[in-house]
Amino acid sequence: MAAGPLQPSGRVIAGGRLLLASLFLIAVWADSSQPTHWNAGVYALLAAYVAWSLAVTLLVWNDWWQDARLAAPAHVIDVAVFMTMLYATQGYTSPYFTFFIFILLAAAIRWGWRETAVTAGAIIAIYLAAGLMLGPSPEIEVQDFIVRTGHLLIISAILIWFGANQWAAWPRLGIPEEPHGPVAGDPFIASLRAGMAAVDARRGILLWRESVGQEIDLVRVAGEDASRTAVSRGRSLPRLPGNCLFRLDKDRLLMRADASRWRFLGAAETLPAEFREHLDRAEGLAIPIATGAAEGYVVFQEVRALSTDHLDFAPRLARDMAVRLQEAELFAAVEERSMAKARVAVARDLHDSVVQFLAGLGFRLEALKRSPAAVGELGDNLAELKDTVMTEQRQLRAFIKGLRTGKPISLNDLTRDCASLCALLSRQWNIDCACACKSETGWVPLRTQLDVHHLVREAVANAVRHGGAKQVRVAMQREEKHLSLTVTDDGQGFAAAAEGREIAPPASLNGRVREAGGTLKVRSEAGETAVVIRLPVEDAP
Amino acid sequence: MTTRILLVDDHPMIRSAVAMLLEGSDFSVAGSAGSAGSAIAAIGDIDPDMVVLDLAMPGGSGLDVLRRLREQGDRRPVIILTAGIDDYPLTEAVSLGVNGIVMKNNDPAWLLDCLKAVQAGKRWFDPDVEARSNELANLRSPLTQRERKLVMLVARGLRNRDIAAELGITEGTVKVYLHAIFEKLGVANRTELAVRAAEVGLGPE
Repeated sequence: MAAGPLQPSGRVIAGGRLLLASLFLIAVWADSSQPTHWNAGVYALLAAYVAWSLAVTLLVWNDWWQDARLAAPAHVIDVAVFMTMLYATQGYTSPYFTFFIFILLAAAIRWGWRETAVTAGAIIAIYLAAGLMLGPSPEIEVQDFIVRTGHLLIISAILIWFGANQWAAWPRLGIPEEPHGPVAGDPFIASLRAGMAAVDARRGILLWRESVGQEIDLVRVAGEDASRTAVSRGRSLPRLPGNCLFRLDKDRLLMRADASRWRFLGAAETLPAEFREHLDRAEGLAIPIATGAAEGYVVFQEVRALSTDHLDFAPRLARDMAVRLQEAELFAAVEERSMAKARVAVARDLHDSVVQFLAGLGFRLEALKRSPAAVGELGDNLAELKDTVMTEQRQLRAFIKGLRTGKPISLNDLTRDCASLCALLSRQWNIDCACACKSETGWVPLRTQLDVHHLVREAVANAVRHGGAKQVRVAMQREEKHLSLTVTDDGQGFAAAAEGREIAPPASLNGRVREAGGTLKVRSEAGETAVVIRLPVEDAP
Repeated sequence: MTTRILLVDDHPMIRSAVAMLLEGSDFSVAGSAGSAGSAIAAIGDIDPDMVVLDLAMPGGSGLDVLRRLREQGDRRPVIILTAGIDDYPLTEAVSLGVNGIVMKNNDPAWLLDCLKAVQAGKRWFDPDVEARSNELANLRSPLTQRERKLVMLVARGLRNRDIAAELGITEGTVKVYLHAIFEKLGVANRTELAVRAAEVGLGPE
């Protein structure tokens, strides 16, 4: 992956100016024949120019805002000093030629061929005008005048061509072509990482939304850490005014008005509050990205040598990333579609087989219950059996619904399912089993819903079989990134606890908890045993 | 005199179990059908007093049968007996004047309650379905003809540009339609819409 240049163009120009100015001062001081005019004035001017160049270098070295602010005034001062020195120095020690190249090169780098041509035209015009006004004299030697004018014209033409051919600060820079096809890991994270590598950034944020979708994907990369989450529904995608450099703590925002002009704006009034809340750092480069079917923006932070060059590169990076993201969207859609199809197929199979069987069984049990023969204990047993079948069917329906939609389940629904399951387990084991949830709102994914069902069944079975429990309480609570599930029973508890040894977690529970990436702890005291499980829960809408 | 019922369900287990439940009641199974197509023919042949319809069946949904009956001006009572009903089919079934909805996963005795209520000229919905129906009545309206067409085109895998060309509208208008459809059907994106289109009777033509 290509990264940016060693130094941004602002530093190169400022550093070049400082070196040239210093060399100019030394050359004039060392050569007894120089300056040919205004002796004291030339030294004072050159000393001031060196001081100015040093100040500019220090100001712009790590500050893209000052670089943009000082670009035009510094350029005008360069031209003025050059014209003065052109007149004040003669002979081979006069560094006018290098200086002229520097001025035009700086214009070509910063702006383009028009500004280079204007600068060259202005210098040559002033030089010719001065030569014509002064006429042949000891100050203006005709031969020297013609040679210098010729040099100026030739170099001007070359550097205008240089500017016109779209010189770019980072010709190597860009996201390289990669073989088309699915990439390893999350394709959106991979796209963001590719962009970060191109600008040499340590942090990146990508906000992305299908143009007709409701969900906004938030992708974050910080060093080796990466995540992709869905921003809550109903949130709008912040709008950016365009490619920009920003620094929030100093309320600065810099954009290109066109190829030769900057727009200096306030970050607070230009950037939406929703944009700022996702940022990790105060400074960065923000680039809107759009494809035919999706839109969003990328923010690069902790960029090495962040400079105005990044704004010149931004349109190309936006195009490259759009292509990458479009491919990522395509492959994600294909993957999502095949997963959704598989889910729907499993759901349909379950619906067509087990659910219909249970439903039919329920109708038959109801018919039997209503028959004249179903009296007394037989009638009661049939009624209980029918309730059990209905409960199992409801549990299965909830699971099928989750499979079909792939959507998370609300804590309310999970609590209702759990209460229904506890009622079933109460009948099955002839115990008092109940469920309660301490959180009022929240969501859990389908996977967690299934885990809760199996864990509760298994924990209750353990409590009754091994502990002889008569009462079991299931408590759930949604924490920030976890669902806490505590199953407490009044059984005899673990022998290990009574003997002061460490309690080994039940293998049947521990295996499932480990698979889900959760933790399991057991507390056992006289008359009360608690299995405390924490399951990781992804962010859900 | 018993009320004659046509039982439409593609699962033989359900057909025989319901027939068993109705034995000795005021209702009798006059005939049964295992698909939407055969249901239409059976209604013509048997002329039942009531139709008990499953929703998800091969070759068309129970909603298609209900729609067809109502389009023909047939107002005979129809009861939906299903294992699950989504918001959109529920909204459309209500708008088509369905007389009863019974969930297979609730108390089987409710089927008899429903049949009796409908026989008496009342509407009877499973309590959960009734509550959801009331919520939806305040939230959503059924899909328009054009929206239905657009869903079918999405299910065929067409892109927005192709859909726009097919319907003679702009891509921007397609996006506006899609937003409205997502909202009405409660889906998050076009992939989910495409996958679930067939389930709600809006699969590719």
